[in-house]
Amino acid sequence: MPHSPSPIPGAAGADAFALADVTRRYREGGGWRTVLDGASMAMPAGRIGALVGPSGAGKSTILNLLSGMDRPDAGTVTVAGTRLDALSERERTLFRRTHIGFVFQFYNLVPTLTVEENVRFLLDLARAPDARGRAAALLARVGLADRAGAFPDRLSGGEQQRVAIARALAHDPALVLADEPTGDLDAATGLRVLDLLEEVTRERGGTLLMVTHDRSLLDRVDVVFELSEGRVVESEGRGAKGEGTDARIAPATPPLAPRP
Amino acid sequence: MLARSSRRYLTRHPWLTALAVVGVAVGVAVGVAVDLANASALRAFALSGEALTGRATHRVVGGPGGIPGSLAAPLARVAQAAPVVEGAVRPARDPGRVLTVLGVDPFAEADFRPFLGRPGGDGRGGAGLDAPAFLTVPGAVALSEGTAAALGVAAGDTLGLRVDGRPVTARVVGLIAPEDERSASALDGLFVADVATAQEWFGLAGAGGGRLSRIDLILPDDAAGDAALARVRALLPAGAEVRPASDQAGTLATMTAAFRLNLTALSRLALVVGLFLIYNTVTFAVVQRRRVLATYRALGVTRGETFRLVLAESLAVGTVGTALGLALGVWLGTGLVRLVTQTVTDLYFVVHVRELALDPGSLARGALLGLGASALGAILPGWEAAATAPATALRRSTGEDRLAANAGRLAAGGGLLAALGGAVLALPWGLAAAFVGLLLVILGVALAVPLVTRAFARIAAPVAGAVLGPVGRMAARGIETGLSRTAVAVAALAVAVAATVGVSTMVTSFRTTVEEWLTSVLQSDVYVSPPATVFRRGGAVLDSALVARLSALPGVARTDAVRVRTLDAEQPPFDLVAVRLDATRAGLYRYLDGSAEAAVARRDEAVLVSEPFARRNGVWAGDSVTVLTDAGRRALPVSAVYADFGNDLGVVLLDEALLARFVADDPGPTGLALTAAPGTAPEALVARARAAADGVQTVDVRSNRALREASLEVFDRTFVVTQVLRLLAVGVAFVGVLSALMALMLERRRELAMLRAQGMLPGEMRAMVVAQTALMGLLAGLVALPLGLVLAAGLVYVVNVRSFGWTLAFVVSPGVLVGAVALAVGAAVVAGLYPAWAMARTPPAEALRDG
Repeated sequence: MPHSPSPIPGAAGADAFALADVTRRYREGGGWRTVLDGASMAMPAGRIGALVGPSGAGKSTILNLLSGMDRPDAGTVTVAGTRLDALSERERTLFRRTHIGFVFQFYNLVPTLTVEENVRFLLDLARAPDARGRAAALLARVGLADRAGAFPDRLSGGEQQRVAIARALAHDPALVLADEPTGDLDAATGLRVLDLLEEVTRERGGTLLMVTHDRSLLDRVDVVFELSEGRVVESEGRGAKGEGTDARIAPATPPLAPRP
Repeated sequence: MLARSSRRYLTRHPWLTALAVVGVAVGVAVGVAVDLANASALRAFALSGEALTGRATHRVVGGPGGIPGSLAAPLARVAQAAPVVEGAVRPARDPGRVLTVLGVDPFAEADFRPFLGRPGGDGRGGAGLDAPAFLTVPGAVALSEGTAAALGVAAGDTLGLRVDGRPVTARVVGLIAPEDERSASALDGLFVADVATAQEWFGLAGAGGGRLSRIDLILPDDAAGDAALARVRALLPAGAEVRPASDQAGTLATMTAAFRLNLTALSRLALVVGLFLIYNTVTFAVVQRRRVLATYRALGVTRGETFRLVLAESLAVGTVGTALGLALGVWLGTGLVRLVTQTVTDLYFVVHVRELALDPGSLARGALLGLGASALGAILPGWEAAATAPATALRRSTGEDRLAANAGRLAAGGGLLAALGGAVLALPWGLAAAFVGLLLVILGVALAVPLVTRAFARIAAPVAGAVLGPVGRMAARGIETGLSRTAVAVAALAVAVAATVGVSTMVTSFRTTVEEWLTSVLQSDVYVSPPATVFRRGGAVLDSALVARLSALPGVARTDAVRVRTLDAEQPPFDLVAVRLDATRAGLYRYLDGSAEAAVARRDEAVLVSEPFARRNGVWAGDSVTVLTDAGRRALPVSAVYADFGNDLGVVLLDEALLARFVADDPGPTGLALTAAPGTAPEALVARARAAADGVQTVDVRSNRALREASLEVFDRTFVVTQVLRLLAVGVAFVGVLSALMALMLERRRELAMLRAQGMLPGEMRAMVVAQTALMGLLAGLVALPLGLVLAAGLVYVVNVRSFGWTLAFVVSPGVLVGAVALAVGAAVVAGLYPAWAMARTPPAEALRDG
């Protein structure tokens, strides 16, 4: 099926994603553990957001819901105008293939594919035209054009994560989700990777939601969501004060100017 | 892109991939080899049957004495008719070889067997048999060029033969050049002689044309043919019948059906074990790539695509393995066909196989089985791969071991499957169903192995720790942590060893039963008979002068004659055996129905039947059997059913006086049993009997013990094929264990490297790996024992009875059980040696980096 760029919600203020009164429970031992309890959050398109909270607060659960890898027990999940909770597993998988980009904490490159093949993986699955050209351009953008033919085990952690970023962006997704993208890197490398992720996202006008433990990164983002006890109990943008429980997050400061 | 990734994965693990290919290849090869060997034997018999039958549409056959030769002329006046005398001979200087003699009328043959040509030729095939030479030269024979070359004779040579142990001389007056390969195969081992020559050789000569084996007819398939058939019937005396010639084509298949099915079932065992190997390899590939598969799913690869990916990988390996297996199977078949041919000749009838016939059906079946097993072995791991939670990609650990989590459910399912198998075995649904039942039992027990393995590992850990210290404890615990690999390896080895236990126990039971039977029925001291062409088929007659001499020997207290007539006219053939059925004789048998007293009381009008005959024909005491005698078809009441392991086709046993009423001419006994008088040593009687036979007839003179040993030797020979197949199954299991252990070691590279990095010595690491594999082998052996005994019970009480009609005693040999456990432990330890060596010598830094 020929690939067509995912529609990015154009008008400023249109939400890239929205969770409304979402509840998610898991079986644990003999009972149930409620991870999300009527949580709500939304973010406009074209923004960079951070999702923070203690371990076990439900950050990964939110990523799973937004990517369609999981379904809520109650509530709705909307991404790029599509209700994911109303789709079948197969429909969610195919949606994820075309509308979501993922950057994992541990890179998760396919070890038996070269760097270039990793980047164009989803383009090839969708039989997109000029997959090689697009992959090459992205690799050049992330500074790894000369490693296109190498296998991942020959790359450093930072280099692998840059490849992962290129892979996540190759199919022009509506939403990029990054799960602690610098969690497995040293501080300096992590900073460089974060710079790259932020730059490339803003260049493309894309939307990025990062899970992070590093509060120092919050200076870079447009929106911050804080998870606690199953709810988005505090949402604050840079410099903005909180509006109260489950309020929509208002961007407090204008987005950073795109870097050349 | 997915396919490319898979291909590279397989090539990056060449040893594991190669082992899986080997497993499939051997499994396919064994099945194909047995199929081809069976098909070749069938084809060879069919071809020789075609040669012997030619274009005949019907044949006139008779009872034990054949049909009168005087019938030929009147039949020739109403239809195209050709008299035939058929029998077997052995070359004097190669008594191990058996040849078929076809006695024909050269002037009547042209339309029946055109490959023999028309009379008046110069002795070469195509131009025909040299009729004048046939009629004038004593002992004249024609044979194919191939047979002549094999015997080292040419046209004009003489050849010494033995007919029922009596010397005769044949003179080669012509060579037949077959038109094609098919004809050449059909003519293998065939001597063509004049009817009179054959009658003389086989003791069928006499006044009024003597007797014939049969008269072949060609009747057109129309109203004229029907009318001719009616006229033929009107001419037939009592004791002769006309049958379609095609009846005989099914005879071979029917006679050997059970034997072939048993071989086929055993050959499939190697493939079943190969199935575990495929499952193990595919599972390893899934488990090792769990993060990659989770990444695929997280990126947007669907469940269906993931399942198809795993299936395609397995089929790729399976295709290579199958192709290799087909080639290997053909090679293996060339060796196996000789064993199968020998067994068929020993047990049923003479068959010559020149070469392995490459039956396309057998090859296609082998290919389908190999690919089918590859697909089947990938289903569970493929499903597991497809069910991989994409969220797993977000986590560092690769998640719980599904097999460990489902071990209880699998065991419950396995229990149900085994119970179903037992039910199928118990129901009277035929032989194929019995094998299906056994397979269900095997699979059911295999499903329970993960649970058993986990329990065993937990019990073994403290024990191994006490014996070997931390190394022992880690060895045992490692079995549980790598359950999805170790359990499969244990299951594969357990199944193969269980098959060993099952088959060995069955063979032991069989042998013990036969030994006891021989001991009970062989009560005389000396046995005399002409050498048999087919071991279990009778018919060769003792010279009457010899019989008189033997009966008059000093030191003989009692002489018992036996007359065995093989009734080839019956479908399927069976033996008619006549003895002096007195209380002494009747008391030798073990009865399943009726009694010795009933048998003796009714000996002048009723018969006994052997157990195989009773089961095959559904005939028991109180029923009756119809037999085509020289006096016509007779319904004879059955007084008893007795155990007889000499013949799986069946025996009708009757008193010699009763036989005399149905046989036109009595050619004499086919065997004589001498009981020594008190004070006469059996060895002395053997010597006297040999001296009496010297110069009269070549006979086998055996003491009681020698006859028993000879019988058991044939018995052992018939199970050679079984033993070979069993070993091959164990070989595949060994490959499976090796593959599983290597997979386990690869997975644990990083963990083991950390142990080395912290100070574990290479020797300690080797000890840990070897201890682990020894424990796995021990578990496999322990699982194999009960499973093997269940298989043995199925083989003894169900399969054997349905195949051959024999009730056997169930005999468990402690040696077999101990040997099985030793085999399992030994195979596992040997399989673990290379992984142990490889892991111990890998530098820790390298393994830590690669992990």
